This record gives sequence, structure tokens and C-alpha cells, in this order.
Amino acid sequence: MLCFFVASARSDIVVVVSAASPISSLSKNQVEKIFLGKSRRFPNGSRAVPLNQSEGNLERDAFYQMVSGKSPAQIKAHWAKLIFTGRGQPPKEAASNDDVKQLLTNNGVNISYIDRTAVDDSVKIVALK
Amino acid sequence: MNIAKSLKSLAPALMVGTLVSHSIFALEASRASYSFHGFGTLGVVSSDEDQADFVSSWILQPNGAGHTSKWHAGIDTKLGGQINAQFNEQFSAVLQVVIERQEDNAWTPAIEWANIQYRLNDNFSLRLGRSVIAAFMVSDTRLVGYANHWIRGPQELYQIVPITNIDGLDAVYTLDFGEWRNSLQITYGQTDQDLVFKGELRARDGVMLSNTLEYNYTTFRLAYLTAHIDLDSSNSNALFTAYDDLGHALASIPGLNDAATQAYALPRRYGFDNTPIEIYSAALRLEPGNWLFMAEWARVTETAALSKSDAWYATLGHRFNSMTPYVTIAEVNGETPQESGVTTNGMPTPLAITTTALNNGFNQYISQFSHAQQSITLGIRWDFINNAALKLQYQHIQLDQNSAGRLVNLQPDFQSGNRVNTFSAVIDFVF
Repeated sequence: MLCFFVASARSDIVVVVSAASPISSLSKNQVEKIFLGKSRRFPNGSRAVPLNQSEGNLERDAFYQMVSGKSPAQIKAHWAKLIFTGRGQPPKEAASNDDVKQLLTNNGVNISYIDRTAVDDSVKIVALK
Repeated sequence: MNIAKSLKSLAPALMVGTLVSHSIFALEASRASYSFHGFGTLGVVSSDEDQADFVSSWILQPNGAGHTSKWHAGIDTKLGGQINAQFNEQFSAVLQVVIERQEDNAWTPAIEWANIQYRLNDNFSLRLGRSVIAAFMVSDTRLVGYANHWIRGPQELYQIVPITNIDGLDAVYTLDFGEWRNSLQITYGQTDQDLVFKGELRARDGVMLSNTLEYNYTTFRLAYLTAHIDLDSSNSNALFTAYDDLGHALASIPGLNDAATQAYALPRRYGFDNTPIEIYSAALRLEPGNWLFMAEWARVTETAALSKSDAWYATLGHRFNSMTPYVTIAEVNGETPQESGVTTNGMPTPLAITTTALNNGFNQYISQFSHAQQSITLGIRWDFINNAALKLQYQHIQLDQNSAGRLVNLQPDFQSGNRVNTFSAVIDFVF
């Protein structure tokens, strides 16, 4: 039972794009760079605009653990460095898996992550290389 | 300065924008968006050296822990607020105001950053206005304790460039090739800064070049900084005037021409008068997994009273969940010049006594510009809640035989060569 909870909190996060997006696979490193403000582009050259989940959401902590191995505090310290040197702003945030799906179809943002159980026709799972 | 002033007048407009659109989800890339962020530190420091003060800046803090008070809360404590404006994909602006204890002991707000950034493309960006001088690897987040594992950058090295910001233009060119990233930054500008002892520092024609190479968890940085420095303070002015007066007096006495020449020469040798300074540095940072290793080396050339110095540090930390213990060793090795001053041979006794006293005062003055100490620091960072960290730090400092190290406000009974123990506790936060 304990194993089940740990597994569901850790590894059932999937990176998603809108169903119409041409992006189908990325490396963890590419995803990390996009979400940490180190890269503004997908490998195909198009603009990447990431959408975060709100601070404190389990999905968010599990996502960063998965792609970068960094703790919430490390992620926050990373953004403090960029924000207070005028070198970047953290991604916009959505409050829930449902909000992520809704916002991904609005075109303003084009990559995010949700719990696998929340995946539906509106989004496409990005395979992580 | 004019740039900073004109940016300052933007502040109310930016502030209104922030209040209006703070919680609005501005997704359209074309629409301007504003955000407000803050950071701060609450901290106390104690030092067991009661004949001098421990400070975090030797030219910006007149007193601190040790002599002035055993425990001092005005060394690391600060509060900063920042408004970011993103006008479109190309243009953005940042205004950051920081309240911390100033050289006159007042907690006056000061503008730390105020610039407009233009991003030409993914690789090239320009900034015009006030920026922090990124002299060393983490100089630009020097005030943002939360962004760093330690309480303050090792003073042996970081206090080689005690001035903080520069008004001017900077350009960053970033190139990605595969997993490698290289950033070249060039800054040109100037600054005026008020210092302790009613001092004023002017830096002109400041040029800063830095190149940062990143690969995976490795960062390697090389930097070069040069500027022309003017420095006036009540101390230096009084001393230099006294030597000029002495020179006049000696020139009128037969046989003391050589002494007069010596007296005239001292202010020219040790005064900062459009004097060029050069600083070289190299830095390495490794962050594999939960480990953090940083090491940095810097050299400052001899500049007027400032002695040639090398400084370095190495720090190692490891994250265990919310706890990050770390250890840092550091050294700065400025050589205190032994200035013989004006020779008193052949002088009438009263004049010789005055001259000797002046020479002694002069040596005391120039010794303030040479810093030599070693230290070891043990610390721990605890990320106890989401946006704040508690840090505790113990530092053991060995002062050089001829130097007060980074200590200031020396008392008559102060002895160089002492060992000093300091303890610091801070809470760093962001919001």
C-alpha cells in the first residue's frame, strides 16, 4: 500500500502538449531547460512557453524531481537568482490538472505536465527520451 | 546617474501596473505584464574581537559586531523589492530597491537595479541603466541570501570589489552548442558611491568582461574588470593636506629639500586620483546531484593605497533533504606596505616629532587598504518552509601579523595577528 502511494506521487507525472502540437518527444534535459528558463525553444526551433502547476501541488514537486532531481527549495532558489538579476521570470502557473489542460488549448502556453490519470483527448503525452 | 533617475520616475507607473494586473493571467505574449517580487534577510552576528568590528562591507558599513556591540543585527539584515515589467518579447525592465544599513548608519532605501533590457534574439541581449557589477561568480545575487547556500560570499574574495552597482550599458551574447552553453558579457559604465568616513568613490570608464561556460553540472567563469578610481575621504584629505603643508614648510628650510620632495610625493603615490585598477578572476562551480562545490580565485593589482592582493576560496556543501551543511576555506593575502614616510634627519626636534606622528598616522591609513586573513567557515542551511531558509554559520578567522583583515573600526588596543571567532544566524526569505 505504501509502495503504491509513493509510486503514484513520484512517477505518474507526464509531460503534455496540446493535442494539435507537433512536439511528440523530448529529452528530460530539454524539458528541464525549458522549465528552468534556460531554453526558449523546442528542438524544432519553435517557441516553448511552459506552464507550471501551483506551488505546493504534488504534481509540481514530482515533475521537478523527475526531470531535474531538484527539490522545491532548489527550484525556488534557482528562480530567485534569475528574477533578482532581471534575467528571467518563472513560468505562469495553473492551479490543477484540469486548468493545465484548459490553458494548453489556449495557445498562450504550449507545454506542461499533469497526472497521468488526468490525460484526455485535449492533450498529448510527450515521450521522454 | 541620469539614467537611474529617469528610471526612478517610471516607478510609480510600474507600481500601478503591478497592482492592477498582479493576479491577471496575461498569457498573450504581446500584452505587457508586470510582476512584483521581494527578498530579505533577518540576521545577527557576534564576534569575540572586542577591539574591532566585523562587518559585511569594509567601505559601506562604519561599524558592526565585536567592539560596537557584541551582537549586531545590521550586518546582513535587508529588505528588497523588485518590479519586473515585460512589455513585449523584446523589451523588459527591472527596478529593484533595497533597504539596508548604509555608510551613515541610516536605513535608507537605495536603487540596486534599474534597467531596460532589449532582447534582440535568443542569443543577444542589451541592458541600459543600473546593474549590479558581476565581478565574481555570485556577485549579482550577493544581496539575495535565499539564492545562495551561504550567508554571505567569502569576504576574503568578494570584498575585493566592495562597490555594488554600475550605471551604463551591458551586452550578453549566449551561444548554445549541444549541451554546452557559453555566455560572454561586456559591461561599460561608471558609478558614484558614498563610503564610510564621509568618503566618496568615483569609478569612471569601468569595463567588465566575463565569459561563462556551462556544461551539465559544471560552470566555469573567467572575468576581468578595470576602472579609473577617485577616492576622497575625511581621513585621506586631512593626511594628504598635512603632507603638502609639511612639504611647504620643509622646502623653506635649507638642507631639507629631499624631505620636502618626500612629503610632496606621498599623496601622489598613495592617493586615488583617476588611478586605474585591474581585477582578474576565475571561478568553478560543480553541482553533481546533491553536492555543491565552488572555488574562485581573484587578483587585484596595486592601486594607489590598495595593495596588490590575491584571494581565493573553496566551498563544499551537500544537501540532505531540507538540510545543507557546508564548509568554506578562504584567504586574502594583501601585503601591508611599510612606508617609511618622510625622513626626519636634520630636522629641528619639534618638527621631527610632528613628522614622526604624521608618518605613523599615514601608515595606519594605508594599512586599512591592505587585507590579509585566512578563515574557515562551517555552516548549515535549513529550508524549513517553502520560501525561507534558516542559516547558521561559524567562522574562525586568522588575521595576518600586519593586517586587520576585513575588520574595521580598529580600537587603540587592537592587535593584528589575532584569531577571531564569529557566529551568524540569519533567516533568508523571498516573496
